[in-house]
Amino acid sequence: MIRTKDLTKRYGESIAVDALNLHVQPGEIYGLLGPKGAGKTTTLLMLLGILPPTSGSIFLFDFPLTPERYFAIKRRIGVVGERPCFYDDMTAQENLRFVARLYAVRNARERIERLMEALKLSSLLDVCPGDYSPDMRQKLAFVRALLPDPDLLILDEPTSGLDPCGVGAVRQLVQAQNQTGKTVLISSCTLSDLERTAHRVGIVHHGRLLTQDAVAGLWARLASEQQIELELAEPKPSLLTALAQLPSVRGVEGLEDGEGRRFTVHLSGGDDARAELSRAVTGQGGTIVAMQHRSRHQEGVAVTITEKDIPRLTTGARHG
Amino acid sequence: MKRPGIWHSRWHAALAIQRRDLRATAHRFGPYVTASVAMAAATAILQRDVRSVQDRGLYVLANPFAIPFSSAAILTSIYLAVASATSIVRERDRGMLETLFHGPVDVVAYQLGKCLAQMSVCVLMTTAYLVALWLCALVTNFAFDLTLMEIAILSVAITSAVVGISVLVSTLCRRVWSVSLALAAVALACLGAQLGHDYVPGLTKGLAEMGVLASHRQGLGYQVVPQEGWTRPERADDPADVIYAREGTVLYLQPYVKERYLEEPQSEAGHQDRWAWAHAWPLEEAGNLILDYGHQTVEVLARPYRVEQLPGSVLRYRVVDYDPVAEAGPPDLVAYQLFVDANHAGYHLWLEDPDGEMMASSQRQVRRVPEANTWALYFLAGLPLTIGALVIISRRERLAASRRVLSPGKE
Repeated sequence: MIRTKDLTKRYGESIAVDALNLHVQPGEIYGLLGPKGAGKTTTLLMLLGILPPTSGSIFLFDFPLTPERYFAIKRRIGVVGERPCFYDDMTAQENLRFVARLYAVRNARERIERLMEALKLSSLLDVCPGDYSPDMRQKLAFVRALLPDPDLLILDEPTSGLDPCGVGAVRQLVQAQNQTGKTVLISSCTLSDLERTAHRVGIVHHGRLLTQDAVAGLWARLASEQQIELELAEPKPSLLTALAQLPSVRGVEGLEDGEGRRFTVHLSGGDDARAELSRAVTGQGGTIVAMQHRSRHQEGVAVTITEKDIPRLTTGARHG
Repeated sequence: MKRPGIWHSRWHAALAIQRRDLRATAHRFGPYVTASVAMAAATAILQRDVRSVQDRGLYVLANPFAIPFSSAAILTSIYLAVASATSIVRERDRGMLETLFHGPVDVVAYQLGKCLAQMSVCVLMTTAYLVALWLCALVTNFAFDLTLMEIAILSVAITSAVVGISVLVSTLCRRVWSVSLALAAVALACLGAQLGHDYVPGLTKGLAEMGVLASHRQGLGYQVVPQEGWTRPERADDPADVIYAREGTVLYLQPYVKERYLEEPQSEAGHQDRWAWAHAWPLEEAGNLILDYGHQTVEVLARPYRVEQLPGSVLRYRVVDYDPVAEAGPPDLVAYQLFVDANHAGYHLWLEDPDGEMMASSQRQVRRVPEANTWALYFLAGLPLTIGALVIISRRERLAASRRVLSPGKE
């Protein structure tokens, strides 16, 4: 369905995508996982023919993405972007009718009504997308992508900015579409987006496809990751430095909503290190206001992949 | 099944984009305001011409709608250039451009669609102007001829070029304000080039009349004098010139020989296709003037007349019959007398030579301009704004009603 050969994109000296060899089978849900800036979106833009690759080749539906086949190929692809954009001066129905005309969709009216009904948006057909909530906009983006009944769905961070309920709805939608035979390529930096949906996940970092595995395998590798949320009375820089230097600590990062007093401590071992942290804080003359232990793998909690996770995710993995 | 060709697909995408843009444009104030302002400007120019006829009793114009229409067309092309450029930049800013390219749209189809949309708006607005000017022609009895259609087609072509430039500019600019600045710079550059090109207007005629330049061709013109209140004669040099006169006016036509000169002889480039007519000498050997009312023709003989100054502070003259017995001196002018009466909207005229043959380039048209309240013409200018307000208000109400679904408790 999707095949790339040594796909490379350079911007001057920097490499956004580096000799990427991707192979997505028909009927598969494939996840492209990686931290922000890994080159996922650049890859998708090249697959869509929006960005020309510096080198390498792209095959979609077994055909090379040439200008002659551009329109024929694009009519078979539905896309949901990270930030769904619509013509906000037009109603949802007008937006969808425009897309239907663009893709030459037959029986557009019935198809729009059916899809809007399926996504519980039928009462909002005559409302401008600008008045929609983020969840509704995302659903509308799915309606738009599914309108031409595409063979391939490309989803770029489809759950970005959605609440857990919205994330669940998107997950169900992706699975339902896959069951009708559609191939799905999802790009995400959140492993939980791909949980229970993606058949295979490729880890992308610095534009390279490091590994491919099932989601369960990736979770197993992240399972040893422990986090402790810590709230300190008067955090001093020396105290944070001391915490970061503890053998079991991988890193300390501040939380945005903590007014400079709340931190997440990433632990490298699987053991509960709360006692060790308490000793270190009191040893530096600090005071702990609150401390909470968290595991990376919790149901309903989005696990965002950062650069620090890459070594763990790629250790002992099968390479694709 | 045969796969559609790339240009077929592009055209399909471009038409979809054009239709969307047209719909979006219909729901904005911009085109309605522009149309109203353009029509008001055109009406102001027309009103000035009608007043000239009413005040002076006489006005010679080749195409009275050319300048009003051109003014409207220029305003429209400025609006469309800015609208197309800002629309592209806004779509890029808001991420809609990338979203479009996710689908079966490429750069060519997108730009083609944008240009087609603006051209469609241009054609619609141009048609509205032509209809409005035609209605003005009915009120004023100004000649509405095919030349205006040629100007209209040309203006659509020029606007397309301007829109094309603005689409190009928009691809180079990242923000709406930078697009506006860039377009203003392009417009100023064009204006500067035009001003630099049209140097020393009217110089040729002066040089020709002094006999400095060699003529290329001779023709026939008329000096037109109203019976009363004239201080300066009007000239109908070209067969395309129409003599507009107030109802009840009496006119005196004096034919003269004219000569054709290169309009810009001082230009090194030549401009061999641009000519100017200049008055040479009075025509003395002419036959009758024929007035063609359509259903009948009337012959008018050249007769002598005397000019007397009217008493009072205003320097004015009156043409009166010359009585060879009573008058001591020769007549002040020998001319053909015409009546512009209420029974005829207009008539054609030409001059015969002594053998009774129509003299080349002697055909002209005389049209009566009725006493009309030209302020009523501004009603037409207000029409687009009214239609726009109705369209936009009704849409906003419909959207507001639909929006209540989101917050059913709020009324």
